[in-house]
Amino acid sequence: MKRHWWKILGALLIAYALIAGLLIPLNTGILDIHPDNALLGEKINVQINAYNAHFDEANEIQVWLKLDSVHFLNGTDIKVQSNTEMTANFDLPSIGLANNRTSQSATLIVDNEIDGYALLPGALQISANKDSLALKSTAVWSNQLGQLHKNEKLTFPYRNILYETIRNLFYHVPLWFAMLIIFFISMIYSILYLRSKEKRHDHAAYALTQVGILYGILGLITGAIWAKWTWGAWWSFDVKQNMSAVAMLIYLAYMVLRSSFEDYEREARISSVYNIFAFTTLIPLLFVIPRLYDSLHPGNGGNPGFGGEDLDHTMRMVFYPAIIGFTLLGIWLANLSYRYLKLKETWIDRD
Amino acid sequence: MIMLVLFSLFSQWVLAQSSPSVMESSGKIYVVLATVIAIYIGIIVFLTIIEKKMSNLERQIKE
Repeated sequence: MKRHWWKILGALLIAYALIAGLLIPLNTGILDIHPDNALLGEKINVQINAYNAHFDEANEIQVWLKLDSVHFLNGTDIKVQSNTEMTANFDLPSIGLANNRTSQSATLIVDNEIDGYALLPGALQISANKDSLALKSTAVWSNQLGQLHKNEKLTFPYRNILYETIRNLFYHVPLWFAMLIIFFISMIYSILYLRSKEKRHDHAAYALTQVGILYGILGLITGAIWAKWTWGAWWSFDVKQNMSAVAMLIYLAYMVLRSSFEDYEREARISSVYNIFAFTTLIPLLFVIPRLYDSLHPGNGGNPGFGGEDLDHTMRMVFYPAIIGFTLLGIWLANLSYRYLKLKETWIDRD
Repeated sequence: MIMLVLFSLFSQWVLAQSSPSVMESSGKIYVVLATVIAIYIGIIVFLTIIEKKMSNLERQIKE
């Protein structure tokens, strides 16, 4: 049992990532509002649709419009229709847009004591034109926001378009992290083989590469599934998608290379050298090239990383254990393959 | 081999069932489900391949 502690740890960490990753609810978010544009000075009634909210049960609901850091507007006549739907009136003042601007977008803030506050940036486009000049409103902007509530419960961040698929961060991304760790260990074993010429080192490198390829292919498949329902296509020829596919082809060539030798010594030596080169090309393919071009992936091109508010503490709490869990599971799978290779070797060399 | 065929049939069945509207419903939670199932199937396929190789070796040793 003592020798197997890491397998148990890996299994437990993956179980934890599945349970915590799927059961912790998403934070409250605003799906959309209707109408989404208005004229300065207009009195509007907006329909607000929210996600994971408890308007029905809440007592202190506030709705605010935020134009900039000194222009706020409180919504009045809030009518709750259901837990996720309500309407509010906004009496827009006649002035307030920044210098010489004819149009400016305002952020909607919805707050209650159960869900805390939720924001929808760019919710309402406010315009000033000759029609708005005719509207004489006596309303004024407030220069500060009311007291907002903070959600203290354990939640994952709400993101438009992503919604619940933000949980894929615990299953898709750790596969790639684990793949890198496993390919790295595989490269170390290849170096060790070249130094020691011991067959077990080569077997370990081979077994680890098999698992690395499995994780890479699964990473591509899970990425394609995620992309289909968030970016809109299975494969959008995003630079990171393409480069990881290239990386997988390089490693598939390793498998082909391994099976194309008669003589074991030559097979092991040449594939060890190939493995070291394969890992060194992996780094620019996955970490350098995607940063130089525009990419849909967070953390590449002009996109910010899954960082700051995207990867908050609750997500880290599941994300990092998931990486360790997938790595340990990968090493376990590689261990099975390694033992098979060793057994086969002993059988072939029996006399 | 039979297992692999069964898995591919199963995944095809799943894809046929999951119309875009299902995947878009409930905050797209079924996208996460599909991801988890894909990883699960991948690991099972890997284990099946090792199992097959192992059985071949066992047969060789017995003969």
